[in-house]
Amino acid sequence: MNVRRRLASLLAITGVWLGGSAHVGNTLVVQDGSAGPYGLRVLVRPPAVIPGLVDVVIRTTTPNAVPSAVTLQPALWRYGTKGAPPAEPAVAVAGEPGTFQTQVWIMSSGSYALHIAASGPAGNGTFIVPYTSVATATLGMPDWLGWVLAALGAFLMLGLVSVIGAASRDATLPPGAVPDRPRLRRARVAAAIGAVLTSTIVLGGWNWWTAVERNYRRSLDRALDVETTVTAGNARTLTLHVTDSTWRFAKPGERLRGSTSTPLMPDHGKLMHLFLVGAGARGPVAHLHPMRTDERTFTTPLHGVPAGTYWLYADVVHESGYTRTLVDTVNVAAGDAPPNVDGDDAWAADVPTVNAAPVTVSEGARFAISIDSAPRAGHDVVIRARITSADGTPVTVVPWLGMAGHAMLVRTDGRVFMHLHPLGTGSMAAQDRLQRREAGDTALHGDAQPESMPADMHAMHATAPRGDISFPVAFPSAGSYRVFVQVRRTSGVIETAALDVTVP
Amino acid sequence: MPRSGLAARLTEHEVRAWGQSTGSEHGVRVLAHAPPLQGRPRTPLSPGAVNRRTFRLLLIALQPAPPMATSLLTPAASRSVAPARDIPLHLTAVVLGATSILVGLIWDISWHMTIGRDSFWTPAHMAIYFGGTLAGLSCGARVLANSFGAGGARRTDGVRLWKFFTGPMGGWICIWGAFAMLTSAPFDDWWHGAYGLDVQILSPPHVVLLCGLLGILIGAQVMAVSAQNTEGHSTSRSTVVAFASGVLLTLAAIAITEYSDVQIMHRTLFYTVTGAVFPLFLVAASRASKLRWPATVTAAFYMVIMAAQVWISPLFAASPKLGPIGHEVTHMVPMFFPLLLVVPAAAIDVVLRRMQGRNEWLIALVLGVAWIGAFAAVQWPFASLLATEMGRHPFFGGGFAQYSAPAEWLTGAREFWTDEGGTVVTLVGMLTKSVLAAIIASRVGLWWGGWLREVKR
Repeated sequence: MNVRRRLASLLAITGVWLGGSAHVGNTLVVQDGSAGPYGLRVLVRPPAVIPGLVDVVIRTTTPNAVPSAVTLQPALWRYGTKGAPPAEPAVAVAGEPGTFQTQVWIMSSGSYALHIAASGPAGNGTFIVPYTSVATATLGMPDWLGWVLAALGAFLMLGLVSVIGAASRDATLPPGAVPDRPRLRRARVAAAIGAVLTSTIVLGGWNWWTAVERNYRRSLDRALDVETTVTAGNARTLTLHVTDSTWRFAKPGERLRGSTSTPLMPDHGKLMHLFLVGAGARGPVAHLHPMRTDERTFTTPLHGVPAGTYWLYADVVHESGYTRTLVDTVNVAAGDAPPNVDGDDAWAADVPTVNAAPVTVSEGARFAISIDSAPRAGHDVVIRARITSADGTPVTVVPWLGMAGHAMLVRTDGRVFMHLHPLGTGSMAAQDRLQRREAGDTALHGDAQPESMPADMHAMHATAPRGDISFPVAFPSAGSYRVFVQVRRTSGVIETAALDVTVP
Repeated sequence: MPRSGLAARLTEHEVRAWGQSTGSEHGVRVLAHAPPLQGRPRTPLSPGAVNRRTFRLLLIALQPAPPMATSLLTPAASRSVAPARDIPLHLTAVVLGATSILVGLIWDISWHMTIGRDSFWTPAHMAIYFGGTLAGLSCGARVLANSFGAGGARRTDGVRLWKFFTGPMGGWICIWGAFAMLTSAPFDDWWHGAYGLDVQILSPPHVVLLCGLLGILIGAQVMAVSAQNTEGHSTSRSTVVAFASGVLLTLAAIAITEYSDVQIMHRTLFYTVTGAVFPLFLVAASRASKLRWPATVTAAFYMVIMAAQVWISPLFAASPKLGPIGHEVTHMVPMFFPLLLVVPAAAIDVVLRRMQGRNEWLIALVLGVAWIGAFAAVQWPFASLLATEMGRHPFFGGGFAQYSAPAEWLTGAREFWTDEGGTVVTLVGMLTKSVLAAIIASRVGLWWGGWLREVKR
């Protein structure tokens, strides 16, 4: 393993990462959970190629209950732990008590349940981190390796032709005999034929390599083809139509092929969460929940969203636990529409930016957003949001879509987007589903599933301090980001504020 | 070629024909250096003539063999002293290397079927690279010693390459194979980083490695054949030729593992694929080695190696380290039980002996038909046995499958996959497509074996 990691890092330094990655939704996974009495925060760094090694760091968030041993077991959604290799023990990280690290092989793309088990003086327990495995990049060959292989290849070709010629000339001569002219001529002919054959084989091999590269690029995670249209006027509607050929679901009774052939399921009450972010990450944001009108079409009214160009990100979750984000750029024409009756949509025309001081929002309340430590690419941090009334007392927030708050993280070039909750980047519905599937309960499919929330989420909910919400997250790469936080007040108003973050 | 006494009165053809038909060590030491048969016999044989010749040959055969390991027909220029070693050291090193490669390959396949994941430094990989290094280095040392020792590159007992170097023919092939193996290593490591672990066995870097392995194994065969052809009649050297051929045959059998499942053995495709591969190696081996039953011994080596891995692998405990796991695996999973190649190989030996001197295409035709007839006669009923519960007995190794196979594959009788149209279609296909494939493979094997027989450097 060490050789592979060293080589991988060497290649990363000298190699060139090619391939357009449209993988905006699920880059680094950060998930909070409790394994029995231990509160744990799990950071998952995915590999770029599948099969590949995934890097997992597990931190203890409960200082009074620290496990002594932590194990990790990746289980593909269809097989569960019965079809998974034995759990890998995580190694304690020196100098950071309560922190463990390990690497595990992820063999295929699809929805995985990472089973985290912790044991120690306070007892033991397990919980699941849902993980969507997908290849996101191709690896270019470093120049020096290319030259070395080309040189060796040329040497081998030349050597083979020479050996064929020499074999034809000398091999069947009795010892002591010297080759005569006809023999020498025959040897040259044999070498020439050998050269032609060798070149043909090498050409065939090159074509084969190109075909593998092409196939691999096709299997890379890429943005699904979608068409978004917005009508204008007083009944302004946004329609998202998925035109991609891979958007296909198994019919009842049909054999399930992969994670994405399972039906969509609602995640905290909604089948799709659609976000509109003003292009450039400045300007308005909207958090909408379209209705599904057929297998490929979703529509939502655009109540009050200002006209302009927006980046569209739509999150869906499959029953297997596989999460994906549909992306598009859409021009919204001027107009209006009545709001959605359930009142769960939200939009903000001007998003105040929190910097040094908190911003003032409605009813004189003050909204502050901060990060608990200096952000570094690939490392987990916690974003804290705090709403206080004018006199400084914390303000009560009410659950919105079952969560104490929502956050969105957008890189200013639009290539990274993450939708965060107080428990992390993962989907609660996926976690619950994988848990039930592990227990053998797979009865309900699709929209017939009742809205379900895991018990511990309610518990965390109840103990969250008023007006104080935290989001664990990991920035996947360097760059400038904008973090939007949305909470709902008791008056029903949804407050939005943003923080600009630069990750070195 | 000077001859003495009674031997001088025999024609070349009679000498050779008698040598082939008896194959015994003592009587035909005189015939060991008979030149290769160039043409067809010109005189038809009458029963009387045969009897007279037989009597004369009998007289020769009963002469006591000389104490030295030389023949009465050796040219004056050859050595008259027995060689210091019957098997030269460099040949031992190369054959050892070839064997290590094969053992490593079988081990690695079993590892991937059982444990799933590995690193570069597993024992199986080390066995493969040790074999390649041993063969490559010993041949390299030999080439350097020959090229820069007494006589240098102008020596006339080796194969010259690139003006300054000379060495044994098999040595050059081994050196090439070793370089190919070395090239494949960084290529394969990069490939895994770019496209992930092997989803299929054959990827471009693995094909480069396979070419390298083939180079070492073919180099070992050529080196053994050269030692056999230059040192008089030596059973041990001829056996080494058969062993090297057997190792090569085993590699070919491993390469077509996909077509060696029990369930495919009642389909034309099985006989076509095996007919396109095995006769090539066995016919060549039959021509190359001077044993009495060369192809049979070669096939016997293959069967012993494959049977050994069926019986030995499950003795070692192991469990999968990759998912998804389809059934419980507690010991190393072996590959298939060997195909019954000794029977068609014996048929090859008989045909080649009987058809000495005939047209090569005619020989190939008879070999092709004989192969399919003999192979189907034994493998078809044996497959029926393997498909029953008895086939799952550890002796036959049918109760094992790679870790990802679901548990249902390991219980119950196995059904044969059939061609559309039933057994009649299968039989017709065997008589046409499979026989044709075997004929072509035999023709190539005859050509290759003929070349091997001539290698003297």
